[in-house]
Formats: sequence, structure tokens, C-alpha cells
Amino acid sequence: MSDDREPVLSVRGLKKHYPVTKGILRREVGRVKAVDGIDFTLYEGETLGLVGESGCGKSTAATSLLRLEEPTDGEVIYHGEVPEDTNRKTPMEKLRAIRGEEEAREPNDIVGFSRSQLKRFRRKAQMIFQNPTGSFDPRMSVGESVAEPLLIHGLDDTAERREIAEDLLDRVGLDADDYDRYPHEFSGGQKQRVALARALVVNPEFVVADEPVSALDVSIQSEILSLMRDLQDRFGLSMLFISHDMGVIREICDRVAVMYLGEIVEVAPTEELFRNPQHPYTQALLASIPTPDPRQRGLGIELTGDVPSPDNPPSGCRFHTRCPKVIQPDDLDLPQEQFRRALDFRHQVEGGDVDADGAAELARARRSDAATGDITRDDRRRALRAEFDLPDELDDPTAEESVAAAVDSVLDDDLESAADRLSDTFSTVCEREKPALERTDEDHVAACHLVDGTETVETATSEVADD
Amino acid sequence: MATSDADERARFEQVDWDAVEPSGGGFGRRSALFLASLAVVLAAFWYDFAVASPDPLFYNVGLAEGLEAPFTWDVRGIDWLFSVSLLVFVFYVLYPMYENLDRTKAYFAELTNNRPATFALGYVTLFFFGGVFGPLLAGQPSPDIPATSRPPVSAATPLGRVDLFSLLVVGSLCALATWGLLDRLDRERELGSFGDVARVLLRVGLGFLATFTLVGTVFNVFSLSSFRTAAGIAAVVGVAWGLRWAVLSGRSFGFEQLRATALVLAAFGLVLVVGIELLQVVVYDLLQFDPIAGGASSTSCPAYAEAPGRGTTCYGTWDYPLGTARYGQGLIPLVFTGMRVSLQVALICSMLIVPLATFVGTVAGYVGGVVDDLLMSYTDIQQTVPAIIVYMITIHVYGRSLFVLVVVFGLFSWAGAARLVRSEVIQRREEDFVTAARSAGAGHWRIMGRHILPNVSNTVLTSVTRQIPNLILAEAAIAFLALNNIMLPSWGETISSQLKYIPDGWWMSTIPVIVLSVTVLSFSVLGDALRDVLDPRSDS
Repeated sequence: MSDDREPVLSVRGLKKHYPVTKGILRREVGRVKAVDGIDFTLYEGETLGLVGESGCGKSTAATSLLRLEEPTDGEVIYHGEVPEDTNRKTPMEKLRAIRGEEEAREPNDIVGFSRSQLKRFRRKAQMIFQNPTGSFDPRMSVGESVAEPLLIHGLDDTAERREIAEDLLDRVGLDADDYDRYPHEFSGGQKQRVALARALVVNPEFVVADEPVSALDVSIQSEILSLMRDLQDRFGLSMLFISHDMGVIREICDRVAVMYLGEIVEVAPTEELFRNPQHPYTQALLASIPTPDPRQRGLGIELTGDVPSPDNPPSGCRFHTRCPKVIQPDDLDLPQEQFRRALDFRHQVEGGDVDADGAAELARARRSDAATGDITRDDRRRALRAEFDLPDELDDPTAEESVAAAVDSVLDDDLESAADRLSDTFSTVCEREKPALERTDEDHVAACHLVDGTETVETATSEVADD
Repeated sequence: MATSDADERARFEQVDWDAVEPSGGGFGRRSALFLASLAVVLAAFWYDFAVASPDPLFYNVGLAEGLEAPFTWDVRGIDWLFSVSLLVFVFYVLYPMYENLDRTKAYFAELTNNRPATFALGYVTLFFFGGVFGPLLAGQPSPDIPATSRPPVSAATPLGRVDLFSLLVVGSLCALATWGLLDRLDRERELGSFGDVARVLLRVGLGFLATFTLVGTVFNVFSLSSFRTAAGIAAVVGVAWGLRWAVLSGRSFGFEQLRATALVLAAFGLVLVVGIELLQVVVYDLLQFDPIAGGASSTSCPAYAEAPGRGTTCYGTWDYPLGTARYGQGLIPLVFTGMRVSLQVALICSMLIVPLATFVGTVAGYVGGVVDDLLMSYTDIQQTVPAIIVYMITIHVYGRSLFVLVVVFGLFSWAGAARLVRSEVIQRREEDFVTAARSAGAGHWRIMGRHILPNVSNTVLTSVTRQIPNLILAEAAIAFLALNNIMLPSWGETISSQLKYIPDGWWMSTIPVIVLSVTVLSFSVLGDALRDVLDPRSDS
């Protein structure tokens, strides 16, 4: 499917890190890796979905690929006509060029565009926002808002601007008379129609829609989605559609990229992804779609553990802290669920989130008749195990020995040896090695150790770029 | 589906972007007009400074034409600043209000829901016109020693002698009391019917005042005709406007309105009798504020104003309706020149505060980072320096003048407003519409000018309106500390110099005190109401 289409935009290794600074000198003490090296290609006329949990970096990916925020690293190759550069270089820029400090970039890399190039490029790429209320200036009439991009790009004729905006308002299902009304007079769905009009008004090549329907009622959602599809067909737009809602993604997207903690873990055509998800995270996301069938409730895969913080992402496969299919070492033979629980226990111990006092408190909470008798060490042991859903006896003797010893160490407040003990036994390849994106099918790539792919995606994207 | 009509309209797909040639910026009509007016003022200033100096700019104008009282006006620094601030006010407050008439009307309707704010707005409007035109109408408060210490004009009534000033104050209070009373007695129907009559009367009054101010000023400055003619013209205009509104508004005026008016007037009469009786007992008898010049004796009463059996004391006359001060300056000119001074303080300080606060706050909030830290640290430091101390030091160098006062207070009072603006800008900067504008290709200046500034203008306006009473009070306080230019008859100066004649010459200080209090109160009430109306957070 992607072979017969021209690419519009290729994103390669895009990174956006936010420095965490401290003190008056703004010393950098850490980095939030919101987007940490993503690759994808947007083809002409298609809708690419970007899906993932809140906080996984979807919106940051959108804003930094449009350079609304400066990306930390990576390339965004624009395959359309590169806008000409009319900026004269400032002395600082000349100096940098002479000293060779400036990274050599491809001429069609958006990240390397100059200010004047960027302004011209903005006409080709537009954005739609999640919050329909916040995305309109309350002091401008919606018509002025819609016509503003025209003015910015140099259309000085007021009457012509007004005519274009009125016509467009008409075509997105509003009234031309709405030009002079103010945003607060519209409902959320109407405002999102105006937002579509504003995105279309400069006749862009592609649109980035950042959760455009998640703030709307379900009935309005489908209206807006069908309008979007309509307009897309009519004007041959490409669209990057960001959402956390798999249902919406299924309805509108041709291909889907799944994002987890700043990385893309799987890309596939929508049909294929829903039928045959490869990555455990994608499987979990799909399982989380509510089904209207009451007999099929509660069969989903539930993810355990907290979402890790992007300022200190897990090593190896970033999903291994929550993955239900995390790979066991060869010398263990535990049921998958028990291994998952044991790993959770290990992460908590390593993070210092459990201690002897906590165990005692858990034990006290578990006992209904707290007044009678003291809490024995056995009580605490059991409470701790119960907290992590670990059975009293694990199925594998090596594992059991290790967990029992670790529990005892925790009760003695010796977290260090407990952590050592656990990490010796419960280690996984997912933690040590970062899986590469591997091709499983013609258009299907996934980054998981469980996936047996044939070819890495790096080669695939560069092939496309060479065309 | 597309009709032929739709085909003719411009559509976005048809724009040939390669052919679009931006014609470049250019001033809007408003900026062009403002700059032209400013150029005229600056040219006049240059002429005054370089050519006419040391003579006054207007020196015996009309003497050659045989005018009886030639016009002389030495335009000083403060007057130049005042003209510029008036221009700014007209072009950047009144003109945008006129341009966005719908929004202005909506705000006005919301503001008038708040009754005290309505009165405050009315008073502030009067204050503005009084400050601009009052001194031209009433003239300068020049000393007139034979007319020293005349009390306000008074008349004998069955309830005892009542002076004009007390009658005005008691009358206003009684009108409010009548309103409250009828409201309490559930006479809404009558109040509503009377409201229509009152609206007509209000328009007659406003029409009269506006016309009288303009025509009277012209007649007075050019000595064309007397105030009587001006008042006649104004009355005709006022009545005509009132009747026109009464006809056009489509309200019926019949027996119901007549009955309501009669009832309201009867109630008002009753309350007024009580009010005047209270005035007699409390103010005249107990506090000894007498409508007769008591101890502060007038040396030469006109024969018709002599108070029988009171020695050399006399009643007030219509020559000086609100009486005179110790050296015979009429209190009406004193009140109006004081109003001019207060208006100058309010307008010029605002003209300095608004751009400074807006600029510093917007830049700090929008740019952020080190710039923000530096600017806000500076405002913090500046806030610790009281403006009055700076003023006291400055007058030792440059001498005492209102010019120094407004400049010092203007330059040292913007920190609070700047902080408010900054916090508002920080909020706005993060909003999606700013990102949307950026993704459309807007530059930083455009975003600041077209998106951020209009959204923080309300904050600035409110903050400044709430700052104005403090500035007016500061001017009065400086006069009270005897740190002012004593040749300038501001309210503070009049109050502090005439206060020692209480109780015999009570009107000399009480009248400016009341006007000052009402001014300060009105600005405070208006500022609070404006915050409620304009604060964008309250209507979401």
C-alpha cells in the first residue's frame, strides 16, 4: 500500500528532551525524554494514527516535528517543494558556519530550516488542537481567526480574506454569517469545525491533528471524524492523527504507529494492527477498548505497575516494567503471571518503595481483629507476598528460595541484599537489550524481543528516502 | 451542488500562493490619526519652546482684535503632558470602544447591572468633562478680597435657612433613600414606571450638560456671549434629545407614568423634609456648620445679603453659589481647577503606568527565563522605594511642581500592574491559540501584539483604574504635607489651607473634601466593577 504512494514527511530519530534545571545558574540535573528517537513516514493522502497513553510524548512529537518546539535531535525530511530561503544570515550564524559548528543538514530537513523557510513551510503544514475552547483567541471573531493565516502569509486584501473564510465556514458545515461571532458563542463541536476551517484555509499539504475529538461528546465525535475524512478525500490531505482512543483510530486511520514512553513500538496498517497486534503493549491497548457486549467484559489484559517516568526511562525495552509477556530467563520455569509479579516485587524493592514498617502496616490492615495478639513475622511475610499477588509457594524452587530470602531481608530492613537477591534470579533479556524495530509483514514493524522479524526498519526507511 | 453564485466567490484552493506579494505593513487608521495629532502637539511644543519662549504660547490673544479680556495661557510642561495623555486616551481608550461598539455595549450593560458602579461611572464621566472643560467654564479661582469668606448661597425655608451646598448633598442622599425606601416597600411597579420618566429626564440632563459644556466653553473662551445664551441653547438641545428618545424608544407615557411620578415625588418630598430637619438639628445646631458666615466674618456684605442681628456677617449670594474661600476665591472655580489637577494626575500617571506595565509585564511573561528574572527582580526592588520619598528628593533639585509629582508617581507605580500583566501573559502564552498562531506562521511580535496584548488589556485597565484613587489621594496627601506647589489650587491644597477656618468657614474645606471623597470612592467602585465585568476568568 505504501509502495505506490509518495512520502510527504519522513521522521528519523526525532528526539525532544526537556532539561530539568536547578538553582540560579540553571544547572542541568536531568532530562525528561518526552520523545526519544522516533521514526515514521507519512505518505501522501493517508492518515497515520499515533496512539499511546497520556504522557507518552505523542503531542510533543507533533509539536517538535512541526518545530513549534525545537527538537533536540533527529531529522524531519519534507518531501515537498523546499521553500526558498530569503533570510540573510546574521553575523552570529555566519561565524558559526565558518567555524563549522553548525551540523550539516539535508536541505529538505525541517529541523534545519531558516526562519523564512519555516514561515513558508507553515503554510503547508497545519495543526488542529485537542481543546476547542483554548485554541481560539477569545478576543477575535472566529472569522478573523480563520482568516488570520491568510493575513500572516501575505494576503492583504481584507475583502478577499473575508470571502475565503466565509466560504470555508460554509463548507465545514457552519454559516457564513458566523464570521463575526465570537468563539464563546459556539459549542465544542462547532469550534472544532472552525478549527478545521482554520487549518484548511492556507491549503496545506498535511495536517497534524492532536486529539481533535477527545474533548467532544461521542455523537459529535463521529460527525467531526466524518467531516475530516470528507475534507481529506476532497483535498488530498495527508494527516497525522494523534489519539489515545483506539476506537477513533480504527475509524479514521489508514496506518497506526503505537507509541510508548517516547518510542514507537509498532507500526502497521490499521486492519492488520487490530487483527494481528505483535507488540504486547499494542495487545494491551487493544484489550482496553470497551466492548459493548456484556458477556465479554473483563477479559482484557490488565497492565501492572506504574507508568515509568520519562525522566528516567527503564533500560532495554521500555515496556519491560509492565509487560505481561516479559521473557523469563532460561533457568526459570514459572507461570508467566507469577514471573510478572516477582518482577514487580523486585522493582518495588529496588525503588525502595517497600520496607519493614510498611509490611507491618499491611499485616495489621489485613487482620480484622487487630486487638488480639501481636503480629508475627509470619503475618508480615504473608502480607508482603499478598500485596504483590505472590502465592505462598512459587512453582519454581529457585524462584521460591530467592523470593523467600528477599522477603526476609525486606522484613529485616535490608533492602539492598533483597534487591541483589531478586535481580540475580529474576532477570530478563527485555531489561538488558533494547529490541529493534523488526519487520514481520510487508507493512508491519514492531519492536519486541518476542517478534521474529526479518529486516530492521532503519534499512526500510532509508530505502524509502533514497527513492 | 455548487451554485453559480458560489463559484464566483473566492475560495481557498484558488489562492495562488506563489503570486501573493505582501504589500508590507502600514499603520492602521487609528495609529495614523494618533501620530498626526501627536505631531501637531509636538510642533506646537517645539514652537513654544524654541520660538515663543520666554513669552507664553498664547499671549494676549485677541487684544489686537479688540477683545475685552484677551486670552493668555502659558502652556507649561504639565499641560503638554496632559494634551498628549488626552490624545492617548481618545485614540487608545475611546476610539477602540467606539470601534468595538457591540462589545462596549455588552460591557456597559453588564456594568449597569451593578447600581453603585453605574453611579460611579456617571460621576467619573462628569469628572472627566469637568476636569477638561470645567476650568475653562468657571475660570481661574482668582482672589477677590472684598468677597472673602462668603458662605454658599442660602434661602429661608419653613424648616429654617438652608444653603445650596447642603441642599445638594442632602438632596442626593434623600433621592437614594427614597429609592431604597420604595424598593423596600415593594413599589417595583411605580419605580419601573418612574424609571422611564427618569430615563427621559436623564437624557435631558445629559444633553443639557454636554451642550452647555461645549457651547459655554466656546462662548466663555472667545467672550462671544453670556452663559445665559449657552444655557438656553443647551436646554433646547437637552429637551429635544429627551423627547426624541421618548418617542423613538416606543415606550408609552400615560396616566400610569404620571401616577408613578407623583408617588415618587411625594415620597421624595417627605424624605427631603426629614433630611432637611436632620440637617438643621445635626449639622447646623450641633456641629455649628452655619449657612451664615459666623466668626469668619465678611468685611463687606452687599446690603441685600446682610444677616439681621448677626453683626458684620452675611448670607451667601448668587455671585458665588458655593461661597468663597478666605481670600475670596470662588469655590466653584476651586473645585473645577482641583478637578483638572486630579484628572491630570489620573490621566498622565495612567499614560506612564499602562505602557510601562504592559511592556515590562508582557516581555517578562512572554520571553521568560533570565529576562523574566531580571525584570521581575527590578520591579521588586523598585516596589521597595516609596514614590513619595523619590518625590521629596526630586523637588529639592527641580522645585515643586505637579509635573514632577505626576512623573515621579507615574514612573514608580507601575510595578504592581506589571506583575499582574506578567502572570496573565504567562497563562495566555501557554494557551493553544498562541500555538495555533505560531503553527500558522505568526512571528513573536504578531503574537504579542494581536493575541497576547488584547487579552491582557482588561487586566491593565482594571489595575490602573484601581490605582487612580491612590494617586489622587497621594496628591492630596502631599499637599497636606506642604510639599506641593502652593500656587496650584488642587483639592489637597484647598483643603489643607482652608481647614483652619472650621467651623465658622466650614464650606471652604468641606466642599473639596466631599468632592475628593466622591471621586476616590467612584474610581474604587468603578475599578472593582470593571474587574468583575472585564476579568475573562469570571465569564468562562
